[in-house]
Amino acid sequence: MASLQCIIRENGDSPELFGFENILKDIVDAIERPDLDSKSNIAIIAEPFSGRSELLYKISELYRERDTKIFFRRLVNDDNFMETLEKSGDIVLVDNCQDLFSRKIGGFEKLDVFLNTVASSNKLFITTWNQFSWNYLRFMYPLETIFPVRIELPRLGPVELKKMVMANCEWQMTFAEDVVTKNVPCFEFSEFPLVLPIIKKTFSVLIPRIDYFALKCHFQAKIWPTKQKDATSVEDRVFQRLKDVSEGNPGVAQAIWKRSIHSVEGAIKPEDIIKPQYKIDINYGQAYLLYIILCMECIGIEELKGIDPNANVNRSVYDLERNGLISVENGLLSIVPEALHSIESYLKSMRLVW
Amino acid sequence: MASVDVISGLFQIINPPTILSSLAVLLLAYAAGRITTYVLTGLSEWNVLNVFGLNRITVKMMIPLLKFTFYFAGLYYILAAILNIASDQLVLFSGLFGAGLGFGLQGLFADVVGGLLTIMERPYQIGDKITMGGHYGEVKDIGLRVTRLVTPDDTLVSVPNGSIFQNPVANVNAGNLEMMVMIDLFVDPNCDAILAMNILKEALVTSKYIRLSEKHPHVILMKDFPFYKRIRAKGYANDFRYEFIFETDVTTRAWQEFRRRGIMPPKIGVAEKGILNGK
Repeated sequence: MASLQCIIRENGDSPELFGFENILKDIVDAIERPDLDSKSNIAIIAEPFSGRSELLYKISELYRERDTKIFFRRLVNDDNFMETLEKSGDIVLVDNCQDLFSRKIGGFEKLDVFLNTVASSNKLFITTWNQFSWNYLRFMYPLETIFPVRIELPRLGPVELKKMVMANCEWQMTFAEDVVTKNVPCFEFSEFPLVLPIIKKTFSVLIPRIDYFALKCHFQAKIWPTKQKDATSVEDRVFQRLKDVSEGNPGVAQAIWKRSIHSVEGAIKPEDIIKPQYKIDINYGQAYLLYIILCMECIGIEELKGIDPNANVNRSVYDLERNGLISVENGLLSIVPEALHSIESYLKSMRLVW
Repeated sequence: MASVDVISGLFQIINPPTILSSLAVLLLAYAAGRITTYVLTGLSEWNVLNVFGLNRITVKMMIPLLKFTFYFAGLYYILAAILNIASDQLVLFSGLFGAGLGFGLQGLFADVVGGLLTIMERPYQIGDKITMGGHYGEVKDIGLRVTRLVTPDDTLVSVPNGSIFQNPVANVNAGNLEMMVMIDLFVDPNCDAILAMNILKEALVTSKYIRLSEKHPHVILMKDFPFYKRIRAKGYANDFRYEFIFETDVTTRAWQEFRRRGIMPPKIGVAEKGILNGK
């Protein structure tokens, strides 16, 4: 998905930014600081699908007259990348710096050269990094010294998400109240197999599961039935729901929105915005490959085989795809946007992300 | 005459019903301990705990505390409610207990006190990887009398708790899941040591089992010996259960790259050299 965004931008379409106005102002301030001798290279760090590339493109548009050059994924992966980089103007924009390394022996040469160039150059470097790759690399390189200005992209609120969705929508949307909310149970019981030792017998124990969204709806409807309706319109609640399920990530929100309204006929209700549930059942080796895909955002199967030569990559990729966690397109693997936060939680539980 | 009354009173209250009741209470305390161990051990293996900043050791550390609480609550109930022992009888009981200790129960007593001290001072907890009484392994249980370890070759070893008074206990992870692993590779003294260090460093940091953070740094060291150079990597395994697989992963990949880059092992092995010297 990220690479697709980049191709669109390289064709010259100007992206519209939602919610990054303050960030853009901070970056402009950093670029236009009067004491240019003490240049402050900038690292924009964010999780996948958060709009890093769009922000970088916007910056390149603002400083087009200063002979800026933006290095997208395709250029970063080019062997002549460093030569091209040296020929660019006084502001250099490099997108997806995580592509400069590969997590294997001998996979850091390009990043070494790049960081040395950034540290010794008089040019101002504005770079974007995958948050998970950054968190890994910062314990190996003095990234915080090389990039004194670090900007983490904020999560979007319902208002920004609404603007973003409306801007990309070609038809008139209508919204309606939930009609079945009251019938949705707040608690559900599922059976959990309990194996008793010694006697080696398995019993089914009922475990309660809480549907927080249904609980919230019930709570709001019962406690503040009028206040809720007065305070927020149904339209706002739809986008509040979208914000909650996407955790404010624009790419994830867009994917969930598309998936949610795909089967909707007529007006859109808050309950139509559904967070996909993933039951992830993979081993540590597969979780590690998933972590690599999360860090790199877009990676070829052959490169993945080079990173973990002892793993059965083809089978793992098949399992990950079957679980709905990744998508494979032209041999390139990437995370399914809707699954991003489920994957992150799972990798935290496996202690691969911290 | 008074002490005879006390003794006869003590024997009067120890009768079949009180013995049965006491056994029932002990059984209940034991069952409560077993159930607690089973539930908390099962709960501790849920990976989802990591999301909330907990790990299996933080859950397991409650097990011995709860078990000892059950045992002592049971003992107190037997003495106070079932046997209804008066203070002078308790003094006499203590005297008999002291005599018992003198006649050979001191080992058992030392083990129980050792167990109590282990719970209070926590030199190790359930789930830690320790060396105790010459045995290395993961602590599976801290009982009243013994601590049970599972060694890397899956042998269950029971070490008396009293051994903490005589021997030091080495705890490699001290309540954390991460564990420092030291990996030594020996290379030919004429090889490019800097290149070897760089390769080993990359093999270490690219391992799928490594933990990198401010609290978990890594380092590569080199030492020159007459017939070889020792390249040592120190890094933290993500989970101490990956200790050996982490070491294997780093060693294997490093040696593959060493050979590809012309870095060879010492020409004369240390063992062979030793044999030659012996001759």
